[in-house]
Amino acid sequence: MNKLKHVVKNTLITIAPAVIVYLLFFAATNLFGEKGFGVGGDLKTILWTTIYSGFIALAMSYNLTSGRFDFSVGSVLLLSVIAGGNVAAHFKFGPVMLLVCVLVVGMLCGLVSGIVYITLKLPPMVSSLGVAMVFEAIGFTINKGKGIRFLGRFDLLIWSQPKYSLLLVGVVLIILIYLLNFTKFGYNCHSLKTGQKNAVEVGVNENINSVICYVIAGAMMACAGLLYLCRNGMVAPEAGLASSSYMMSAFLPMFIGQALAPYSDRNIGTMVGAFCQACLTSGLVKLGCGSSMKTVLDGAVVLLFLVYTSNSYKFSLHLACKAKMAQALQAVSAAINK
Amino acid sequence: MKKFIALLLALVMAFGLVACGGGSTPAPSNSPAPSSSQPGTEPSTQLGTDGPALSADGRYPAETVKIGFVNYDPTAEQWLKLEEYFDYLSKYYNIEIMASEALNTAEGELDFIDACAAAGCDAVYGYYNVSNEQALLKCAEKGMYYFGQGANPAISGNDEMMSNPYYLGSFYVGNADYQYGYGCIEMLVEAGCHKIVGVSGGKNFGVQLFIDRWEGAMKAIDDYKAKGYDIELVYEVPGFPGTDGSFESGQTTALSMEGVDGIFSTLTALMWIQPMQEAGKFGQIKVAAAGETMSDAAIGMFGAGFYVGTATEIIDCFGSAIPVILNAVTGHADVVRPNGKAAMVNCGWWKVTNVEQAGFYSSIQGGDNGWAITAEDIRSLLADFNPDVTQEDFSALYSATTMDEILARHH
Repeated sequence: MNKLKHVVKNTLITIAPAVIVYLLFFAATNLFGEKGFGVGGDLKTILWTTIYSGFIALAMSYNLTSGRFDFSVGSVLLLSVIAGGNVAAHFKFGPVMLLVCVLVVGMLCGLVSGIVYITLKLPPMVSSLGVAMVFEAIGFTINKGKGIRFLGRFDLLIWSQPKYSLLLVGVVLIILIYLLNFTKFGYNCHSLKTGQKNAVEVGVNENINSVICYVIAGAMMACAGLLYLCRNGMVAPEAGLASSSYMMSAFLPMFIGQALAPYSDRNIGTMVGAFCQACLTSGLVKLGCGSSMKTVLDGAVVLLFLVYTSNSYKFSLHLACKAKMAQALQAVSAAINK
Repeated sequence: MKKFIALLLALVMAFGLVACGGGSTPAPSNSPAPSSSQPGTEPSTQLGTDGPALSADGRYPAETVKIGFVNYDPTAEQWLKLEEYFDYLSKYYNIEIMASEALNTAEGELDFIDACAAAGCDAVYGYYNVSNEQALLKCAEKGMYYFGQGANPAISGNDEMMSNPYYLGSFYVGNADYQYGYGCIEMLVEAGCHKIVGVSGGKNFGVQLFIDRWEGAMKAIDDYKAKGYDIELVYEVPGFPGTDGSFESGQTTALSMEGVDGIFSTLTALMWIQPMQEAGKFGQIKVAAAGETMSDAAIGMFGAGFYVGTATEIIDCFGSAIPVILNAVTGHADVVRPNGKAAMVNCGWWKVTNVEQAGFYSSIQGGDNGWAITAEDIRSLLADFNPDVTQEDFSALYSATTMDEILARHH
């Protein structure tokens, strides 16, 4: 009975942010006479944004939680879609093989990033900057710098449709939840995250673990890239580290994922965070917030959330102190009464 | 070992400096000067045997003219097309383009100009400009000509800069971006649209070309309203497809609105195809876009009933820099700087309204029919080949860009 109660409580805590944010913006938009938030076409867009930015946040979370800031994720997104997409176009593949091609390139990119990191032993931010520039340059050389275009190929670009994108994210989440919670890789990830030196000293191979994390990140970025391609019909290469902008939408979902991890699973928490961010984006657009105002509000929300998560232990501490004080006062008054 | 490597690096640097020092900086002059030819080279027949001396491989002029190119995005479709055009011209003219990476700071731009001078460039093409007149002044300081920025008030609107002997003027399409915006609304009205969604791109970030295109469109809407035509802007989608989903949310909101039948875009509108299809409105909502480059994708979208019009910039007009710079470098600066002042080359733009036009204009942007302004056309603007050429001839050629005018010139 207690276990069931525990599960129900954790489930409610996990989904609470998503429900609260959704209801908040639903009420706010209706209050200002803006109908259509979170229903019909808008719900589809929220779902697309959730899954797209969720994939990017998942990619970031596998490395950043272990202290590896990977600057190359955006370039992996571009290269996997441009290279994989052009291969699929060349062989006239269908949507499933398009997914496979993009995934393979994404994972290869992740593998290269990981090998570069463990071989050069440079700070990950430095090595990933170099890798990002190389990937951007390779993406630029493919197809004479024109990237990939599948304009009007409605038969091929199915992955942005809700039923297919939900299927994709569902399969990905099952795999990631299994990997992170029920395999040696997952245990090693947790141990390296909480105490790298100790984990290495007791025999955890940090190098292999890092490379696997980079490969997973590559696969996630490939999925995000595929969703982007399916939504816009084209992806152009970037240069001069402009690809780094792709990871900017990942921070809020990732931090929310981290905060919700103790109640469920980091991957699920990240997707909940992505949903919150998608509601925020869509809600602000509905309320007529300009781009610059939206950027300011996004940043403020991330900052507030970080302030809260960094200080949330103080609430527990305060409650514990209060309880202890009450206990002590009770004991003192009991002694006086005697 | 360290000493050996240091010595080796010093030698490489010294060698590099000697090699780069070969380029000479041109002296601004308004009087024609004979073009030099390399010893032992023979004129080729590629551009005619009666003209000036050519390089060993038959290109004009005999010495390579190096041109620095200030770029803002090396992946932009317009630049890629322009690069194609430069490649085409370089088969006939002895030019070498040294393009920058993405430059977005004044410091980066001025550093690039320094690098151009060190590499022996004869001129710099200000395709993009962040530092305003500082770029021109830096070029002048380094003895290089400067071309471009026809709509930049700090340069082409500044009398002092126009009188600077190193400024060669620019091409000019009038208040082009304003006209593109205005033209797009005209095309939507011709297609019978009434409720318009506007895609404003970087307008809210203060990017001038988007502001101008938007203002042009708003003026057109006001003008049509004044004439009694039922038209209104019902929604604005700001920004670009990007990383946070806000553009996509705007698209969804726009497409879910009752009665929307037209979209005016200040940038390419090809990213609306998929969302329109998913919303079941592909072909129902008509689209007109400013600044769309003619491509197979654009032609396809005219054919599919997506586009009803585009206001299209002509890549060849950006290439007008080549004859202007070649004249200046070969001692005929007076041709392009009549009365000792820089001048503008008037250029046209294309209002594309159907698939046939789209196909034709695409075919003369590096397609089956070559280019709108060919190497042969450009030869008529070079004083070494045509001593009677005047600055007006430049404008006459570059503004004769309608389908009929191009066909008449090509046949």
